[in-house]
Amino acid sequence: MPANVAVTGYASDYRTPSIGIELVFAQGENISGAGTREILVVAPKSSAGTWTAGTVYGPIKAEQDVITGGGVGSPAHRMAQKIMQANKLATIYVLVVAETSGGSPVKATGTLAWGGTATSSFNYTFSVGDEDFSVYIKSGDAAATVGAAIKATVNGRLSLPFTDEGTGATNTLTNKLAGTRGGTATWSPNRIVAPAPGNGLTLTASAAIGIATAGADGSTTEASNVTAALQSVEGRHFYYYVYDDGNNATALAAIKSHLANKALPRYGRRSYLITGHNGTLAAATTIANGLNYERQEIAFQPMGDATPDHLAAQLVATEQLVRDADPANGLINYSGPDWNIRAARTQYWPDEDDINDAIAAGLSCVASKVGGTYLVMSITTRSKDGSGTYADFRAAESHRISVGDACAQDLTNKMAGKLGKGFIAHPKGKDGLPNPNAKIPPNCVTDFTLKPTFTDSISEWAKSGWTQRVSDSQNSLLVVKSPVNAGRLEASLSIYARDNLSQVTVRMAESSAA
Amino acid sequence: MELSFLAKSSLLVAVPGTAQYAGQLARYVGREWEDTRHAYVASKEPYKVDSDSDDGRRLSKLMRRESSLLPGDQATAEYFGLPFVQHQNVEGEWVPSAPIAREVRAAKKGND
Repeated sequence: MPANVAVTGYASDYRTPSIGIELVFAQGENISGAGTREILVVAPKSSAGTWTAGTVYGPIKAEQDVITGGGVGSPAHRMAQKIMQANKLATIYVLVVAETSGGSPVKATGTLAWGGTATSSFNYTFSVGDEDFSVYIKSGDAAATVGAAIKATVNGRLSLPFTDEGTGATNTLTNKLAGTRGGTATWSPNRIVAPAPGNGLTLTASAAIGIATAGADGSTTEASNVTAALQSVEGRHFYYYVYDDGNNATALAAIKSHLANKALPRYGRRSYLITGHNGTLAAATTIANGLNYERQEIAFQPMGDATPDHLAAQLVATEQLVRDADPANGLINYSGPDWNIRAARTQYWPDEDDINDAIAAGLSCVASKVGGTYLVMSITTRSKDGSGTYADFRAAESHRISVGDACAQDLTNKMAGKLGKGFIAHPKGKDGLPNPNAKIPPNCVTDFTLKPTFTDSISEWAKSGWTQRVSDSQNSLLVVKSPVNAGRLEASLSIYARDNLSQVTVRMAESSAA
Repeated sequence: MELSFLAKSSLLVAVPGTAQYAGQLARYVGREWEDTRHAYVASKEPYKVDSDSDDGRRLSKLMRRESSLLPGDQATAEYFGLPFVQHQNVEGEWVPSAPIAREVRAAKKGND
């Protein structure tokens, strides 16, 4: 059922012929939700949100709905906001996850401790995650005055994942949600870049939120809350899942198990998760290696200032946008108009070795360039064989999974219309082979008459540019009436997702005579 | 100089220049594959590389940027401006040696 667009005063029983336009301001993004591959945002709400954990909300049409339900600045809000900014066609739902609780959950903090008195007036700029802040400091301002100015600036931006709960000359940037997701000694989703202010002022700043106080989960962890929430969507299909905490190996393993189960043939709800990581190459490699799953992708900016929620949300928005039109698009060196990820600091720009290692590890590397960033290529975490031991790149390029899912969905749609028809053994000719001229009773099908559905589909997929090697696919096709289940058609075939050009190498010799 | 590295916690640092051909066992600095645990456990011996080699330069860069390895000896720690902490390999992971255990061992040695 399409979402209802409510306009004040226009209840469903209001009949007077008229045109009612409600113009609202400061509402955030609105989207149409026309995309076919639906996105499920799996994320905690903050205590300010009105939604209930373990419940799915949507389709989301307006950012304000997520602000009200998920809480402003919650992971649910921030990811939905980012998707909406990048992709106006996205169809978004939110699965609400409870915040970690029980025991002694801790909110991660990072501090800016000011000292001295300003000896001249100047603008001071610093950044936290992918947000820049600028405050005007007037000559004579004491440290506490500077702290208060920064606190007002930070707390005036409601969409941030943190607030300033400091006092006096110390700004205490505190993650809105408790748990390791906010940052620890080894996980820095929100890095702080605060240069020395000079001009009579001193500053001691944490390198990231989570350094002054490490976030910690309570006895009921976020991972267990994710596991519980996922149970409420086992019967419903969403193609894309997006979860922001790419360092939460336990939660990602729970999602992997959920996706693997849903993708089983009996359920057929083939789905795909995207998460984000902005830590070290080594840490992200460990996470990817642990997952090693073709339906999970990590948007990875090494040591980046872009936050994991924005990395994950941007990539899912882009994949939904691009692959609705072309499931085989490899997103190679992608920086389309929808792409808006902050560049890393120069010293952390990945070089070719970093990028190659990231690809080999199963990471979708977000590289930086002058003026912005780009996605190197879209890669699943399935960089090893099924045992997780040996290098195996066959399922690493994510477009192969996307194409497989598109073909499977197409076949499902076509075969759905055949169910319920009479299913008879195809009459054979004198040569013992199926007789192509046999008369099939109305409302009946045979394995022989259904075979063209497959062969035609193979041709259509290739004509659409999704696949290649039509003859090989068609020759591989086997369609039979099951000998053990009289109502079942059994088929097997190979498909070959198209390859995408990702490299050009040229050996060029300048061959002038001496 | 010869740099010496140990694997750090669960972090995986690819051995520089390793070809990742299909079917090949992935290689990580200071780690070895252990079938029984189905994991890359920390090798008992440090990974050594010449600081002037391509591989050495790559690992130096990663070490300075990410600190994803442990210095395996005093000289390597000094090379990177880090304090050297003695580690011991406990079930496939390097953990800081307990000072008390070291002292007990030292005392034992003294008594011998």
